[in-house]
Amino acid sequence: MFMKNIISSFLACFLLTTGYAQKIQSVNTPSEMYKSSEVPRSASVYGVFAGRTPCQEFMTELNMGIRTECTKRKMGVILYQDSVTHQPTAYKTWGMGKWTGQGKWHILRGTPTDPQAIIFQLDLDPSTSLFLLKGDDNVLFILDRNKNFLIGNADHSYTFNRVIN
Amino acid sequence: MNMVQLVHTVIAMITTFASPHCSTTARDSSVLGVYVGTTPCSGIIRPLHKISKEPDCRWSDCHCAMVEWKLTLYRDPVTGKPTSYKLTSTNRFIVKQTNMYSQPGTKTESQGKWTIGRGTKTNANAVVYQLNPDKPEISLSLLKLSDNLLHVLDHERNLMIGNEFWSYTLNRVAN
Repeated sequence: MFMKNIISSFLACFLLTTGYAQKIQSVNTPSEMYKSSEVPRSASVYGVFAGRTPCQEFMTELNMGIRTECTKRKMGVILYQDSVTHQPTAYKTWGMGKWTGQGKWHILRGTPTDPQAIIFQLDLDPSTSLFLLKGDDNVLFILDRNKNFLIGNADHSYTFNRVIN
Repeated sequence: MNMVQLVHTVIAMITTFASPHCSTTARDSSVLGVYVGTTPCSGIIRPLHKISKEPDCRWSDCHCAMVEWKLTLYRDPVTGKPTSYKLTSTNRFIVKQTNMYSQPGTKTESQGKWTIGRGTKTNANAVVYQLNPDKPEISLSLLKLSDNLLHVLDHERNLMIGNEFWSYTLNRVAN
């Protein structure tokens, strides 16, 4: 409980230095990102998705080693598309440690429990991929290497939300 | 099976059925799951949590900035059908003088019925849990993503969109 209070307090301090632009809304629309200048807008951008997730399962799934002190990750991804065909082209990630960077992404179909599910596969390197399940246009869920959902905790979930500027 | 094996088997059976784990399992058959999460304090979820409405506001100015959920879904232990739910939550605002979340926060508790239905705006076959289906003013729908994850839906059954800090996904922690 004491640790949770410390974490909450630290987070609050961080939020107050970064989150003033955030709004609590009565409607269900994407929220502004605190650094709106980082959110590109053009026909070649499919979307910008951000979230704060637990850490351990993510690091395990993406072969990032073990850092027991890591309790959460602040991360996101910009997904680019061909402005004419709308086919996936490149991605750019942040907050993903050694996997922060750029690469290609593709659209796949199917998880072990839903053959129709739409999956975004980000090629991190030739043998490592990040799988994101498309919940809808605005919400993505991070999957494990077998395309199963990752389970979060009381503080954070493995979910990315569309953000705007 | 010789006599020694028979005695061991009987002892094992007695130990198993008399153990706290066994009794816990039997007691918990009426609980489908316990789900937790922390979400933004949007207007759509406020009635369920008994949180007053307020106009759109900057995070730092809102009377409620975030909500911590603990949702327990109960079922009939024999039929497995939904019966009731219990929701305990804590909502917090940002204390300007200290730049911290309010402590200990405002705790609320509610309970009611829940049902299982189908269909979101984009997936007619999706499994949807509905809290308080008999009370539209405090009703809320949750998409079953898996046995371990639920996601809050808006009134038109779109996925609720979080922000870069919090999402509307609830994670199973027990049962």
